Amino acid sequence: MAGADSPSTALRRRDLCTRGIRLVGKMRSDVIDLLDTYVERQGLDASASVAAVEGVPPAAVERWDEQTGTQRLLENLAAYRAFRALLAQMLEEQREQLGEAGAALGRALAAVLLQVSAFTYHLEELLRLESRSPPSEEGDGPPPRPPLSLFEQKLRGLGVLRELAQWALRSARDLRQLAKPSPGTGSAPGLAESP
Amino acid sequence: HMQYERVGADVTMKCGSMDWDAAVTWTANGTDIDESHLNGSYLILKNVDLTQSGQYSCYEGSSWHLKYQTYLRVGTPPKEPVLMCRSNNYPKGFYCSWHLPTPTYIPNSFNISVIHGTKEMICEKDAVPKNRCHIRYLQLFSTVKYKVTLTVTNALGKNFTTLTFDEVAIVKPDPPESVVAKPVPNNPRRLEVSWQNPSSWPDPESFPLKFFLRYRPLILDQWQHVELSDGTSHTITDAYAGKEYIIQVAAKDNDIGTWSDWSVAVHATPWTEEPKHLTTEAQITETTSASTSSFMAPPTTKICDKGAMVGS
Amino acid sequence: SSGLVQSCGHIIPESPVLALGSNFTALCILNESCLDFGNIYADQIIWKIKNRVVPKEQYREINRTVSSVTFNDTSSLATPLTCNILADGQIEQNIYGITVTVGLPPEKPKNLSCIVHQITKLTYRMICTWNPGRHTFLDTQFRVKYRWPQENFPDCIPKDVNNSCTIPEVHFFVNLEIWVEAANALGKAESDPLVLDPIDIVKPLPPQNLSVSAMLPTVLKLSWVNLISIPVMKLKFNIRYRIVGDTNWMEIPSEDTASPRTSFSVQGLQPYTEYAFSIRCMKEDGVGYWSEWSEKKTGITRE
Repeated sequence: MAGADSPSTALRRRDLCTRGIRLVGKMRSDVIDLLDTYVERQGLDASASVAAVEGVPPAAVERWDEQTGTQRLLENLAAYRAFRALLAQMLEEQREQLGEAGAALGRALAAVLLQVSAFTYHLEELLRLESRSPPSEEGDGPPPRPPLSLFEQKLRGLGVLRELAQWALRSARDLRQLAKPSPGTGSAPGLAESP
Repeated sequence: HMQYERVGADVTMKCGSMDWDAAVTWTANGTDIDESHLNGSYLILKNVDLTQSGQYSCYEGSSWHLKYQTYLRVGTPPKEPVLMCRSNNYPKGFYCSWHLPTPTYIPNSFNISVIHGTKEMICEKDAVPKNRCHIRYLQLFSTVKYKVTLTVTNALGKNFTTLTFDEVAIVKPDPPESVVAKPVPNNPRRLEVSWQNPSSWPDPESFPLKFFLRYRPLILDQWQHVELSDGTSHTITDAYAGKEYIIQVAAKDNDIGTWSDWSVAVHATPWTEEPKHLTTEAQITETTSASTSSFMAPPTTKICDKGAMVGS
Repeated sequence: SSGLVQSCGHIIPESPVLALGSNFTALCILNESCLDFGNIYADQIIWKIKNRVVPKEQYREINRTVSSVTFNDTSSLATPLTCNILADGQIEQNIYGITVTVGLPPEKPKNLSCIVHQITKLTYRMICTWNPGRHTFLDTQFRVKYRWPQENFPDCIPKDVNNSCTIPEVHFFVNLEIWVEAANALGKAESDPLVLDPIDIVKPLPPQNLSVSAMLPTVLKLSWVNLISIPVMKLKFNIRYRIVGDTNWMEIPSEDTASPRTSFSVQGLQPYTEYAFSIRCMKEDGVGYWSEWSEKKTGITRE
């Protein structure tokens, strides 16, 4: 059981959780706006169903309510690091595909990428608060894969953005779980055992 | 022996193993049927309707032996059923309920299948109401859609309907509960409204609800609305002095889904100044008579729902 | 040098930038080749500022080919500083000249403050302003630097001004460190950093589509649209109104409009009278800046 919090740690955690929740809330609404622009710009069908995209961490999780706080943070961190790499890749592909015509889409993508990067930092800070150093990033990048056709790239991008929107939902719930005072102590639980 | 026939059908009944030309008597629910409906020993019912449901018996002419008996049920094949799935206790699970758009007048059986991706999920039937079952979420935050297929079958036919939806799309909380509205002493334009999260919502801390409050004076039709994203109370600061108000609240998950129905309506009237009490008897009498005509006793707060007494 | 005219010497340093009030020494170095040819020596050098001869006391002959001149206070210096020679019986000739720039190193920029201006429903810009400090008399570059702990952003470079810069992209809910760097030839200075969450310095757009509807002889109802979505920020409001033609505004008590809303019933008005209304908003917790007042809208109470 992790030691009880110092007041400043508890304050710092609550600040990170609160602002993290608002950050992913804003990010989600930006991603949803971006999805509309992306579908239109890339000439896709909004209702197209996209199979699980390789290298994109699925937000779907079983027995979510039984996860410990550390599990939540580690799974979130791995996911957002993956999204950071995926979005950077999408940004590059998008510039090649659409050039200047896609400038607005590019800016929107870049803005979401920045928010993903900011939230990744939030997660690392939360882990550090629990004196757990965030896992190193080697090998976290998307696995090398065979070149995709243009259409496959576009579909993949759709899959990435949809999954990111779901992750933003999940992350807000995870952070609210973390921010919950543990029963009796009134202070947020040590992450190891928070439900 | 049960026999089902569609409304409007032509029905022919044979008298068991009796020959066509045998002398027989047919009864419907014990009443003799007119010869005009007979063709030999066959009973012919043209363009049957619902009223012709009942027990039909055939007796041999002389011996009155019962040679044939059936219970005729006139009805219709099922139309496409109306299926609705909803999560009012997210993230625990969701329920699906169904009904037929028009009655079939004959027994129907319902079968529901819930597929999530490649996984079939169990829909546990509720004892009451019968046309409802509920599913526990095995996975949360999934982008894979749920596909629910309801098949209805009866003796006259079969139909089905399918719903495909995202996990988040069907989230609709129950209305807020225990809505209470109170005047605020010394504030003629304020009303304090408080409520509780619907008890069916399992984890408001991790799945916070936001609320929509609507209020209007009874004398007007137009509502005023305010959206509130945290907390379960609000002070209305622009109520019309002395006017009785009707107030309702709705709820929605902070991030997903749709608004609940409106809560039970509560009524309240802002605080009003008590008339001044004068010292002398005369003045009291004079004030009472003068003021009664102009001064209406503040309408007491009426609570629509007994459970939500003002101030209790 | 390989030019048409062969120069007989040069001055070092070349085009110095000097701090006001400091001292300065320049050397004029004659080319050996000119010495033999022109029969000239360092002691014949005359230093001039513009066309004014520098007093000889400030000269020093370092050796046959080098003469120095020293100024204890550069504020007397000007451009050009020339090295000239007056050979026997000849006319004075210019050997070399340099431009001298005198100024001050930049002071530490002060009073850095930033405001996030809402531009449209979804776009915001952050304008930072600061006190650039004294005039430096030099070409001084100001840059606004800003970063997240793990992300650096391109500097914001002011256009045509030296005390303000506009950062085009704003991200809320992440602490941003902002500071100003001033640099010129004489040095560099940095302001104290500001560490803030941009959500706390927002000046929202005023409420839009304000409409006034007559409800009762003494009541007008205002309705409007807020341009900031709730996930970004919850708002509180100020509402002011006056009888059309009057000059002084009356204001709804701020505690009555201190929470999110899109309408308000103004009461206690005079029947059958035209009123003008205006409304402004800011973040509900009071951290940030009031918007401008909205466009006025009028309405008439019932009879």
